[in-house]
Amino acid sequence: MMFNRASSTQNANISKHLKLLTRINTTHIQNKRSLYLSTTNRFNYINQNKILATKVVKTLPYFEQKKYLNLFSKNSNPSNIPNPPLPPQPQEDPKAKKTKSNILRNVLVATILALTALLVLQPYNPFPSIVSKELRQALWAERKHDYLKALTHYINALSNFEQGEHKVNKLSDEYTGIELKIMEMYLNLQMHKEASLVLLELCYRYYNYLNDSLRNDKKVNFETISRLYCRDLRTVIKFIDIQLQNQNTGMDVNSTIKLLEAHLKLAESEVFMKDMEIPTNLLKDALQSQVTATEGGDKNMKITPKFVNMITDENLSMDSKGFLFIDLNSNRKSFIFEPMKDEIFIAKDLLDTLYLQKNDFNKAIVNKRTTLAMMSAANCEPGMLMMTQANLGTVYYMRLQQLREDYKFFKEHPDKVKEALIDQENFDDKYNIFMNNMEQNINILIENTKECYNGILLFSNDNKKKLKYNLKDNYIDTKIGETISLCKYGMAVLNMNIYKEDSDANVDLHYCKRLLNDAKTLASDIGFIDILKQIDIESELVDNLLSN
Amino acid sequence: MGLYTPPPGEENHNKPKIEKVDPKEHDDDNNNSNILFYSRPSIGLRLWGPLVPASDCNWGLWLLTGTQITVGYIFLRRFRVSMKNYFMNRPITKQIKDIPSLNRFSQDSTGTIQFTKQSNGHFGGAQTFHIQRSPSKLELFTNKYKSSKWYKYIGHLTRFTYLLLGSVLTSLAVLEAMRLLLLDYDPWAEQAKAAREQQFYNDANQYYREGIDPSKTRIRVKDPSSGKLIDITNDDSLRSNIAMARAGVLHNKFFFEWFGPVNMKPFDFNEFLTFIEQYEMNKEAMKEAILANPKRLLKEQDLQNCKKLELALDKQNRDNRETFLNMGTKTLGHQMAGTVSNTTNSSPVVILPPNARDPDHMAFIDTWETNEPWNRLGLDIHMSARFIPSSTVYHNNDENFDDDDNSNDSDEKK
Repeated sequence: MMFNRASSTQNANISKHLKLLTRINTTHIQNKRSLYLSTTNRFNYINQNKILATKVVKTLPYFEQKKYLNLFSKNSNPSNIPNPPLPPQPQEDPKAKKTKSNILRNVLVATILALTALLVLQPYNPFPSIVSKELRQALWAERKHDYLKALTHYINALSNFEQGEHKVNKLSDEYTGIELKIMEMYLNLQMHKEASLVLLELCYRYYNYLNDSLRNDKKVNFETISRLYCRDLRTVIKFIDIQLQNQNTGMDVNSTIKLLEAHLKLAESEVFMKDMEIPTNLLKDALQSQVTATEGGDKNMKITPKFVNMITDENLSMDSKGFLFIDLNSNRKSFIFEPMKDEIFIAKDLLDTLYLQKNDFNKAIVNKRTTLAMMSAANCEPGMLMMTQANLGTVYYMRLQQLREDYKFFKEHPDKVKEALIDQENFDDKYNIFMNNMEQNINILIENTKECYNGILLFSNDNKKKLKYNLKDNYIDTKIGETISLCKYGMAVLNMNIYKEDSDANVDLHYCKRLLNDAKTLASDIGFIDILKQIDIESELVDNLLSN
Repeated sequence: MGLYTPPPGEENHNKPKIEKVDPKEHDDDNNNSNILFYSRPSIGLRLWGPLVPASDCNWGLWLLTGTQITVGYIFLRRFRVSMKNYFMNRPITKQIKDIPSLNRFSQDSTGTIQFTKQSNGHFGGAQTFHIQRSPSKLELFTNKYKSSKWYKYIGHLTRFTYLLLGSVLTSLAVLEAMRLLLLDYDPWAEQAKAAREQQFYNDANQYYREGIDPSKTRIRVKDPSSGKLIDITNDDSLRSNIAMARAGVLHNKFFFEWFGPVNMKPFDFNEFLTFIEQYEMNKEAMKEAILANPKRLLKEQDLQNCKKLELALDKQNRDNRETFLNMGTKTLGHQMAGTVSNTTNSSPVVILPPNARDPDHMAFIDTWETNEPWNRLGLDIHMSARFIPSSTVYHNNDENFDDDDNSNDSDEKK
């Protein structure tokens, strides 16, 4: 009974499949009758062994299947079905194929990654092998302090570099680096003139290239060009440094100033191209001072513009403990000075020194004021900013001394003024205007000097802020302490100057003495040796004045 | 640590006071100064939120861009595969009477036949005949779900999401890559670079003030004259060198390299665009101004002279080198060799790799880079001017120009 039922269900299944077969596979069976068993037999056969069945499927002619697939596709044209001869193609196992392609892909990815890693990690040697051989020898000799040998190796390296197969880029860091090394060796061998000539050539090369790129529509990478500006300034600074230290290299102050001014102007133009706010502000200030000058009288008689203290909370920031630091968000445009920020300010300081050598105080004052404005915009170190303002005070003071001497001179010899003036009508009036202008200028200079020094002293003495700074610090921020001692000393000197010129003025000499003593203790604490001698001289002067 | 408080109210104000840095106090300080983090700007990587690296961290930006492109590509590929599945699985319905092999008995049959392109085995093979078993409940449920319209809708939705995500991620990443590749002047990167340098100053200063804790580290040096050990733990130059080194270490850490200084606020997108625009406009204006300058010819003449001068200097330098090579080693060399060795102490020393025995055994390019002449020149020119007024004279000898010996400093560090 059970068996019967089972067989009956099996029969039902068979009949179902039979139907399916007849519906779909009739043609196939008709054509290939010889190949296949009859449908019923075949079904039994499959039931017996399924593994064999899959083999049968695999041997099933490929084109046969394709024919049927075409049959069911939408655009099929039943009459055009090709019926080619049937080469039975053994099909690969798809799994094996997949693993194979996977392995291939993995290997490919691994090689690409390895190559990139190699490219990134491997230090790239831009020098040809002959050059690097020479440089090796040269570095070794330099380390052993055999500068003659090192210099010959460096020179050989340079000539090898030039004669190499590829054309050398004379502005590249590699080529110029070797030239710089040659310069260093010249310096070590005390050949200052040769060294300065190398530097001069370098700075002219940069200067010409940069000017060309400005004038012609040359597309130069931004990073490259800002690097070149930086290099240009460095060479000029080093060149002038050598000139200052060795007077016999033969370049007078005027041409040095001209050189430095030209290069600085070029670098500044690049800086201000990024943002025009600072130059426009400076221009406005200059125009305003001109207006006040013309109100005062003659156009030729200028009045020094007033100085406003820059050492304020706006420009300096202090943490809760009273230490100064750079606030990254205070001057957000400070990035425009990168990457030649240091070089620009060093060059500006150098320019001031040169102006002072020529006793050209007016230019020095203008230069210092622009430097101060730029420094505060560039988020400079607080010590540097303070020192610049103190230096400005000193320059004002020097100009004051010069004017006083001129004033005395012209008061004693009015004829000299007569010679200087072109039209000599109403000479007395003009003479009076001239002398008045001088007096005005003197007063303004005194005020400005006071403002410079006092600004710093007020800032540092503010009890609420409790400014602190590192005392014995030779490297990280030396200048805060030095500036304060310099300002104290400067105030004393200024007061003494006023007292000497005008004894009616309300000057407390004891206060001067106290300031000097303060400055002395502070300077000896921080090791500011240069000022100590000056302080001693001034103290004697004060003592003399007091005893009189 | 030596501190100087200018108002001389306290006793012994001239003596440097020793101030111990209390760790608790330091922590409080850190907590009080509320550190704000601004997420770093970018055009195409905004979806990463606060993970975006600082704009001058090039490798980080490229890493993120690459990741984003890969993720976007994966999504696009998924979309393509799902589309293929969708079209492949849809059954094709045909009239039986249109199929020549089936219509031979009746041309008027109204029945249809369905065919799915993607089948498990091969059509017509033995797998068409499988024994049917009764499906389980789960299968029934999934079948029901699969045949419902919800399944269809969700399928559409996922496909659409794949397309959207893939295209958005890829196109944004490509935008960012374009910014990195094509943009010449990048204010964001410049700002980040500048901020890093300023932060270095702050960090070095802070580490200097902290100094070295003598209870943990003690550095002693043997005095050559007396033979005693001297404690130089809080010696001044040592302290500043250690402070610089610590700041340097901090700045080489992964976090700092990736994000830059934390409390720096980057420009927003409008400012960024304005800066680029200004730069380009000013450049053009500069060129126009040069052309319109009345003294243009004079200036050009000047420049021509400069070029001539450069050539002349080039020739001069070549001659100098040649004369040196010809006579230097023979005559000049012996004369100078004696004098040279005395005067060389001030010049900075070349740093060689520690194990180098002879010149051929050095890794050349590393040695060259440690002794990069341009960097050395940059340190060499570091100077500062201090003008000291005097009541007697006002001219030349008032100024005092000295070099900060930073070059020595960098040597000591290594």
